[in-house]
Amino acid sequence: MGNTASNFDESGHQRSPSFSNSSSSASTRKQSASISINSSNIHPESRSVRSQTLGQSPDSFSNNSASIAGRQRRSSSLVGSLLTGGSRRASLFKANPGNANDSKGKSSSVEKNLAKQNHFMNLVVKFDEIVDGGFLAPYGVHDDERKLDYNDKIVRQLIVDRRLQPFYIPLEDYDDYDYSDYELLKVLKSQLLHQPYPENPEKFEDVPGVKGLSMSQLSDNNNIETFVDQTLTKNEKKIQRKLIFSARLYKRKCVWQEQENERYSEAKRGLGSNIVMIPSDELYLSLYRNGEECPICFLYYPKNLNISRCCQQPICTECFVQIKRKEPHFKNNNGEITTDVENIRSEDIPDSSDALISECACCPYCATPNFGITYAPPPKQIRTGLGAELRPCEYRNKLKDNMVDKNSEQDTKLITSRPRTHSLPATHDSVVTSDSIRPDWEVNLLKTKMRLKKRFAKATTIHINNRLVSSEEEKKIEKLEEEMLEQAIKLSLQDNQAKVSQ
Amino acid sequence: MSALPRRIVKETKNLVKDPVPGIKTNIPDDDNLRYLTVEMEGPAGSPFAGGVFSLELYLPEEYPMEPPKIRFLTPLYHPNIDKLGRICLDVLKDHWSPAFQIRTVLLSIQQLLGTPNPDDPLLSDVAELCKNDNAKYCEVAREWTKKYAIPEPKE
Amino acid sequence: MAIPRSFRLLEELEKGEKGGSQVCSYGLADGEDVTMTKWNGTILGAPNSAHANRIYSVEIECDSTYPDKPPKVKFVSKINLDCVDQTTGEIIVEKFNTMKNWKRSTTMEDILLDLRKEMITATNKALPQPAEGSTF
Repeated sequence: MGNTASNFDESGHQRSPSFSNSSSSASTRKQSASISINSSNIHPESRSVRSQTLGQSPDSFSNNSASIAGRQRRSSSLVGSLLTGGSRRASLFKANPGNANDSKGKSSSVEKNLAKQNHFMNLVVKFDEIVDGGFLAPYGVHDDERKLDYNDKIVRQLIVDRRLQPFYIPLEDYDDYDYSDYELLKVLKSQLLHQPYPENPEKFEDVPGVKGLSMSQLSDNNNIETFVDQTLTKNEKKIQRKLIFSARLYKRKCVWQEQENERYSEAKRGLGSNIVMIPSDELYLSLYRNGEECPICFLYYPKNLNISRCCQQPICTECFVQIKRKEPHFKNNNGEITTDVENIRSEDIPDSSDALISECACCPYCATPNFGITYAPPPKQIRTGLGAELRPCEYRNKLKDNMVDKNSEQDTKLITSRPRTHSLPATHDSVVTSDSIRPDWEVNLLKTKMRLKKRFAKATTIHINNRLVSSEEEKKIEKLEEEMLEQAIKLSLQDNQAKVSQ
Repeated sequence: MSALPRRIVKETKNLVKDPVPGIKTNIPDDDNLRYLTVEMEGPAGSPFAGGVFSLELYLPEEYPMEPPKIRFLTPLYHPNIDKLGRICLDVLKDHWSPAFQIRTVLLSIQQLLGTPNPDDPLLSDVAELCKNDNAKYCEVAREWTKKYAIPEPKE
Repeated sequence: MAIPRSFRLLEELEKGEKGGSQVCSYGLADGEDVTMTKWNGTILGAPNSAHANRIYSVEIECDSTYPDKPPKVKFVSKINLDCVDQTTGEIIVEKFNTMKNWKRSTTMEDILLDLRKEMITATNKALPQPAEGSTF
């Protein structure tokens, strides 16, 4: 195999540096960028969104904001940008922090919406974002949106780096049938990239401003206001705005996935771009002939599921990304926990915000704290797709036969490094922990604490002198915000450094 | 979720086909595998022995990432089970793990009947009695078992 | 495959026990009723209206059709609203949108909160209110 990049140009697809760079660690950053750019040429709409995101830096915010709003939102929007990470984080640090004062009042919600939109785009399964026959986004075994809030950029990179098993399309009833090769291939080739989405989920039923709108209308957040019931209170309007945005995003995600399915089925028929990313029959068979059942979702995946770092139990990536810390909560002396932080009253909890805690995720099998896994990828010679030399269509068994010991069991079996038989610490280089794919938990905890402090302080002052916030309280809050902000930046920098040093 | 997850189909069918000894599971509605009814025998040596207690169980949308919802329909006198049949058990709350199964949960509940935990009670009066006058507690629990959980022999 | 009645009611009960909203409350009329049919609710009168600082009691009956069908709701405290039958205190479903356009996801809390909103609609605001503390 030579340099494969030029072949991709011939196939009509955007040249992807991640292929030519192979898996050298120095190019890790670059690869991640190329992956997201790659994904954006799928539908015109997402491309415009992407460029918007990339183009937006704090200096581009206009000056027309009220200074009060500027002060109040500065912290949250800055923290918000830190959390979204990636290229924008870099531009943020270059910008003069003084500029943040001028940021537009609504910037925080605009940024949040954009971040959410990008996250959803990265949850769309794309057939040509393929790693060893698996994908960079979940099939949708667990459809709970609240638990798909992992950092998509980190997870995608971990998969390309072969540190986490790719999201393979699961098989339902593999054990019930004795498939011939022909039948198994037929089943595999008829699979969708993502489980079908429910048409009208109950929570979005009757949400205005969704039905009958075109994709471009749905993506235009500026028209949301025209659908908001103006008789509602300020708070109710805010809730409705959020709901409309979420309902639209859901619908758009469904359409994005449909478009992807369409591209996929065209590619399978030998049409469109990137047909080289369709796995060869041999690749399919080598993967799924040796299926393994995930003990949590009971579905079949190609062998070498991720293995828990502590007790060496298998877990598919689909289930792994679902496991996370509990939301910040209070624990009373009886061990009872209160997760409904938003509705808690200051009198219920003594010195409340400091008592707020976040408990790490435990291993589902042996309850060891700081859940983490390792993944044993296929050997380099037979890796395909992103971060590999071979393209999925080029995978041939003979290639493998030339390179590995012929005595090794069946010839369709993927030879991998031997399974680990001892436990590893959460800090080990090869371990991917639950916290590492949701690195913002600490900042979230601080933010929740800050929100609570603010609310309690306000409630107390209203109680005392029936004014909104006394000047003294205001100073206190301001000071708090500064502290929180410093803390958040510090954490984020540490996080950045940790990543760079990896 | 549009289709029923593989795990729910497999788990419920297995429970019916291959039941845990002393615990019978039924699927009242074949079109709704998320709702099960259970008949549980009181553990031997406990004041609930000889009784058959019915429970209902629902697998929420998020199962197995969230625990099943379950309650007793037969009244019983127990510090960790309230008058509505709600069960205070750690594995049903914050100690839930997606690696647990319905089977595991039912066994834990059966075990709870035999080994009440009055230090973490749902009903403080029952817990007090259980701690301070265990003989009396067992007597009342036996009475309730007789009254509600043992079918009257028909003449 | 929606959540069955009993578990849905247990969820609502739990939320009510925790005291979700600060302007209404609700709970089982009889804490030992395993069928969870009869409920009591209270609504704090809407501010800036004749209802301010009043507390209204209501009875809610969730029969076996709940939550597929709305529960029966009846004011115990006298109140003069367009959607309340002035002889029995019962809610006239046709005149109360939340129950007229019932959705399975609507909860008792939603009903109580929406009844509170009814108190300050233009038509209702003009209505004379009975003496505080009188009952139907």
